Amino acid sequence: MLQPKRTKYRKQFRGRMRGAAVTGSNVNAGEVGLKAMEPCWITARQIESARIAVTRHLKRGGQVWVRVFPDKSVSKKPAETRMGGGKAGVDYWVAVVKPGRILFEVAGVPQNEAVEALRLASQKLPIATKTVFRDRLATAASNAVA
Amino acid sequence: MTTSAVQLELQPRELLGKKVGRLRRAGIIPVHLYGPGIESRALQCAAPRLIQALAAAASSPISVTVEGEAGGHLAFAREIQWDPRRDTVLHVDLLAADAARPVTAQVSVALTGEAPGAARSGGSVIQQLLSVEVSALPLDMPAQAEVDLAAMTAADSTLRAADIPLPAAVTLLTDPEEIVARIDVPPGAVGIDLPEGEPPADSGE
Repeated sequence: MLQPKRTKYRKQFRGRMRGAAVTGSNVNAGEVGLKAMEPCWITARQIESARIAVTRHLKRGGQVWVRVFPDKSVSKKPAETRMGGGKAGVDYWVAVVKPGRILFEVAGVPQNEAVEALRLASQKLPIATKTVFRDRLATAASNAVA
Repeated sequence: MTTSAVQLELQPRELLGKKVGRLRRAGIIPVHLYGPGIESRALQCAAPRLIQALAAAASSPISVTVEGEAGGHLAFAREIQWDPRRDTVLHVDLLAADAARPVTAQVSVALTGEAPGAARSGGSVIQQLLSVEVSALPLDMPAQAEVDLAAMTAADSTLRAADIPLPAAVTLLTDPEEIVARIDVPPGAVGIDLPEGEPPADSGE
């Protein structure tokens, strides 16, 4: 599963997830992308599960990009442990995701297949998502006509 | 590929700063027009009209006129700000250009047709280069650069920047050897036999 090779500090503060994604809100490399619509911590397991769902649906065709990386460590005390004794050890890794962030991108397959693969990926994620396309202006223009 | 400029009429804008939120709620997008030799102008336009003009123009210039003023400007969409959540346009920067001086711009590359090499090998076409940098006079600037995939006959064939057909008045600035598209064949892929010279049938999208 995804996690940093080495970190400067093992444990981190929780932090806040205010506002929308400043960077990473465009489909850059692929043709279709999956965009987060809510803020959340997405765990490395969830990212891997969603990635597998996409690649399995595409039968290893096309190309898939994972646009988030779980670089935040989350600590967790063992069960039935009394409080105190300092911060617990690192249990898992998460990616901090804000609304608007592109999570996955797909290219090299027909558009309907890419959309279906990303729908299956969204089933593995704890947040609401939507499918977006690289040519934002064309999408916005078609919406403006409708 | 040379296009006549898309026409767009803009209105002078009185609301500035954070007050432009009111305009956006009313379906109007704030626009800024600036460039060499002209004073920076705060303008506005109805969202559907502006978006359609930007989509039609792509990387080619827009012929901009301001309501109640004589004369116009040739302008390029320098920056389009998007709302990351709603995917709506927040603000547009238009950069005025002199029609007699060459400009450089990023022109998006559009792949057309089917690659026989991909059908034969069971692979898919991967576009590696999404845009190329070109230099041309504003009115010669193409909206997009179209490349026909029919030349990709073999499974290992690639399209390079030099293979993009550009009008004579347009100069390619991107490295000509840069790969635009290649065929990606997954392990175990099964291709179909195509007679020589026959294009592949539609994949039924």
